[in-house]
Amino acid sequence: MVSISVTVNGTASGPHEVPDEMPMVDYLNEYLGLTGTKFCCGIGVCHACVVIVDNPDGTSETRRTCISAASTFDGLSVRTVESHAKDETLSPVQQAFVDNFAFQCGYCTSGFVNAGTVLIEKLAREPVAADAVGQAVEAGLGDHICRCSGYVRYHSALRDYILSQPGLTRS
Amino acid sequence: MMGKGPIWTRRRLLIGAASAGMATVIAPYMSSAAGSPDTIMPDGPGWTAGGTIKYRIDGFAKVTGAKIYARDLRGRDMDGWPEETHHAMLLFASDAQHAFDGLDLSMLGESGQPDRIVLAEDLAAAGLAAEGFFASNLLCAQGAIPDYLGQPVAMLIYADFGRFTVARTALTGEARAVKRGAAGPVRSTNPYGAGRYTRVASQSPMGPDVFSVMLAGDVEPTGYDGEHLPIWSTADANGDAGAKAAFHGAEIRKSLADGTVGKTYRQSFLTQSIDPMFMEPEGGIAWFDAASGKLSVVIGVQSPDLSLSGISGMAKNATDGFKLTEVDGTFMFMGGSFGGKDHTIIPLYVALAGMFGGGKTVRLALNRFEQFQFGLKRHSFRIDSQLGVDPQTGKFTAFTCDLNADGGGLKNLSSPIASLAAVGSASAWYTPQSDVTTVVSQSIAVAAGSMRGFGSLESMIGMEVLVDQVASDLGRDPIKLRRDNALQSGWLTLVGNTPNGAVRTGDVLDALEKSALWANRAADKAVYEADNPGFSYGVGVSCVMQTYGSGVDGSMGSVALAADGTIGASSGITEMGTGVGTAVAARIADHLGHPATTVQTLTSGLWDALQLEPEKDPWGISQADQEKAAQNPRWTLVGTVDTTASNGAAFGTHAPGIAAWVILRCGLWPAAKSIWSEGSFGGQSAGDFVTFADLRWVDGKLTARGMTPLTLEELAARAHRDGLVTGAMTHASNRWDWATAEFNVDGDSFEVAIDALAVQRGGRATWDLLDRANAKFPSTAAKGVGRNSWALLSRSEVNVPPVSTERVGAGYFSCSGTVVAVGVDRISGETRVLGVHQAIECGRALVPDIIRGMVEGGIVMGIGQALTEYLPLYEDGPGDGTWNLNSYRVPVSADIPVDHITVDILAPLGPTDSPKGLGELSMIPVIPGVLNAIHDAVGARVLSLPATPQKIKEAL
Repeated sequence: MVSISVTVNGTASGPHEVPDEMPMVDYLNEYLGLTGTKFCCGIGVCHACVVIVDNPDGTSETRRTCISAASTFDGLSVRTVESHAKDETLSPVQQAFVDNFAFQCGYCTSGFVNAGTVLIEKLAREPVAADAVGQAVEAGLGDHICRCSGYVRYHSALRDYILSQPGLTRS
Repeated sequence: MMGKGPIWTRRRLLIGAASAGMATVIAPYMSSAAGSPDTIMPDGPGWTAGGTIKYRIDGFAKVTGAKIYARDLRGRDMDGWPEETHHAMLLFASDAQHAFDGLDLSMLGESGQPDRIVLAEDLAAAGLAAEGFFASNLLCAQGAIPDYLGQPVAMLIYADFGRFTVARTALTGEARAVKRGAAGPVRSTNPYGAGRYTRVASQSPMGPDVFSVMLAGDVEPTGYDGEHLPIWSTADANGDAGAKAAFHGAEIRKSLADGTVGKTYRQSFLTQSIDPMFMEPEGGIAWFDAASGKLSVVIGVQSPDLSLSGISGMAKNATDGFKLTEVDGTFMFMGGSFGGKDHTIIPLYVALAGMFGGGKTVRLALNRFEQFQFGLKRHSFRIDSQLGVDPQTGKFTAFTCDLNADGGGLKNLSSPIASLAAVGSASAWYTPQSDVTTVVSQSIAVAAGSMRGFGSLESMIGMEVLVDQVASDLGRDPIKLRRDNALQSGWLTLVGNTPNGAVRTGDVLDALEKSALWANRAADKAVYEADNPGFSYGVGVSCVMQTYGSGVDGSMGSVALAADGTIGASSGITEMGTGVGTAVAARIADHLGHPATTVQTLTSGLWDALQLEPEKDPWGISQADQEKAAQNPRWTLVGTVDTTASNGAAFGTHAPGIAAWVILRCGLWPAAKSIWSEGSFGGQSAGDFVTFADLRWVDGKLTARGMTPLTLEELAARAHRDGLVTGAMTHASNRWDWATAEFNVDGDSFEVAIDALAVQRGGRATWDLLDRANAKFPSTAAKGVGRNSWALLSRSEVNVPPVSTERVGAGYFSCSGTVVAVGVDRISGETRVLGVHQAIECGRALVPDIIRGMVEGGIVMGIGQALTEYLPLYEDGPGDGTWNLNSYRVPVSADIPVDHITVDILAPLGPTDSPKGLGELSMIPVIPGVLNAIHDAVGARVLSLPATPQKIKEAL
């Protein structure tokens, strides 16, 4: 057993005693009741389970929670899909996905939202040329598996949003 | 509009001693309570802003991670359940040639041992056994040879999650836990089903036929020999149906052998076993109160009532402590399904977890390894076909097809799947003579069941590749060859039935021909090959006509119009991602001018008012018995609704749409007349004769022949004030045709395609307007509908479709075609899909954005089956427990042409076209399209899926 404390969606949780090898997705689901982070393959292939880890330097990254032990998140600040909408107003990435009918069953959506969010935040710091947005979206979402939608709308929704925001691209 | 409310609810099965086992009782709508899923599901703020659908009704919930799937819930989430949740897992046999010799859990250590182990002997002691559709050994008994690879042998239950997760990690891939004993004979039984579908046309393709299934009835073998091979009737032109089929079939095969029907093309094609690979592995929670005998389950399945009856049947002979008095199911959204959660046996194991859970909430949720090991698979088919073609005209003259499928270790839906494979084997093409046989065999493979395409997919792939071969050999344009052979409207299908409505294959082919991918293929090839040395460019085409509906389908709908104009709607169908809830909202707008404000799916808790008495054997009832039964105004062909056979748009929205029409007819129309006749001398309507048929919704307002346009709010208020109809509840039955009935509401008689109707009048004392104000929130609206008084109307005349036109009499078809462009590495055989265009006709598109998304998804799933997805059937396959997404490769975005997938939804023929099914349809033509494109590129005719680089090289 190991004791962990994690800041999740801005709220400190823990210390909790958890098994050393317990995956982070189980910690979120079972200990915190945050089931928006989805278990799918359990081996880190599909990326449905990714959450956002906010680094001290202001950057952020996605991490797969099905293959990462909860103990490896000790002391970290994490955002899950439940964090993005504020006062029933969706985040830009969430809004882009619903406006474009990007998903169907929705089980993969949490992972796509988190990955899209990290990409947007990265582009806000490091804009790319407009003609490189497609590649950036592929790099940001390309590891994620969706079985219903065929990816077309996830990609086009995010790409269109990025191109609509001057601060995310550079000339 | 926003609110909180359910878009699912419960069904309950009460088990009563007086009813020889059980009686289905529709539960009152579950109350909202803090912590229950009813209060967790948020509607999407603004999803119908401005009276139009902006996004999916479930979009907000899904994009915010709301608890909407069965895997999301624990005891703490359920009102009245034990908060303490225990956790269960199954252990499976990865060997079906040696006896199960007990468990070895020593690797878990003393502290890691489960708190409860459930074995076959425990089920026997409890009197628990699967029966009926699910009849099988739920757990392999110690000392017995497992029936199939992946058969469960034990259930382990842990009281705490920490020890559970450690144990599960240790047991994943741990073959030693399930001990192997002595070798023994593998299980071998007769096939799950076999059939023969022979047709001989007369001079006219419109019939009457000389011989067909529709005329003669089903033909099955007379028995099976010692090798489990079917024994077909001896040919006799004057014998029974089987003998006649054998006679005509032999004649057809002889004509193909001796060349009297032109040039004969032969093909042997193999389709592979694949996994639906829905994103949410199956699972759920259960709680058993032994004192009361009530078992509560939360699951997500396509066939809710079958799950409940299966659980109930399992306990039919239960001993004390396991007897069930009630099974209460809460059915959640599905995180994907594609047929794989239809008629699934896994809910029975969820129920067992609860029954052995010591009164606690128990969660059984498969991980992905387990889902691969135990979840339903697509059948693998061997398809041997012969097609006779007149080389001068290119017309198809005769067709035979022998379909052999591997059904794996459970019967499941193998037999009807084989039947649909036969029905679909001619694809969209007309042949005047055909002889098709099916055999679906038992094996020790992981069980196969329903999956997107339901048999037709497999047989159509074979046919579409065969047609391409004919076109290549005869030097004919593959689109023109298809157009020349397309089954036309009113013509008879391979089983001798006429498709309902216009057959639009020609329109689809025209759209394909005009597509840029097809029209520019020569120029595109030149450019691509110049830019990609070593690669060859090819374009393939395919077009299919797929049936939708199961042959016995129900539809249930309820619409309640509140005084403020908000519309609460319900449908009896489940949501697996296809957007049926949003489609229901759209269909209601046909009659009420606005999409529904809230939509609940699977709200069978509402239907008490209809007092339905569903037929117990809708598939087997005789015509005489049906006619007699239909005299009872409460009798219906089928009570509830599964989510199956692409039935969402066509069936799931049907009854809600008619409910909305009833409100228009019996509520808003008299309300409008009341408003328009206000004032002296008959008001504004005095100078004109306004009829119901004149009503039109224009910019969200109702008008007719120059009358002042009225808002829905105005009309609703008047209807409530005057006690007019403001709520309608409907049930409809379909057997490739809708049951119809006449109803009389306050002196107004009409005939509609429903067989049960109840109405709610706004003026009744029992209708609380405050509740109605709350109707903007789904749970409140639904409870108002369910609890208040309903005036049940007696149908005066009913026309139920005739019997014996079920599965093979498929009447509903839609059509799609695909053009696929590929680049193939001439050395390695690697194939890149470069572009896909699909033209699809689906009647009236209720929510085009959802349809486009579904088609795009079907295209990508088709690419996966065409190129990468594959499961070995036996010892090296998923039954060994080692398969996951690292070895089973589904497409990611890099595998598909994300920016070069286009969808052309054909315009309906008219505004009254019904919506058609399309979920399966969108996937099917993609697979042969890819194969035909590979052939066009490099000349390799791959006849075994998936088309791996190795197979392409071999074909070269």
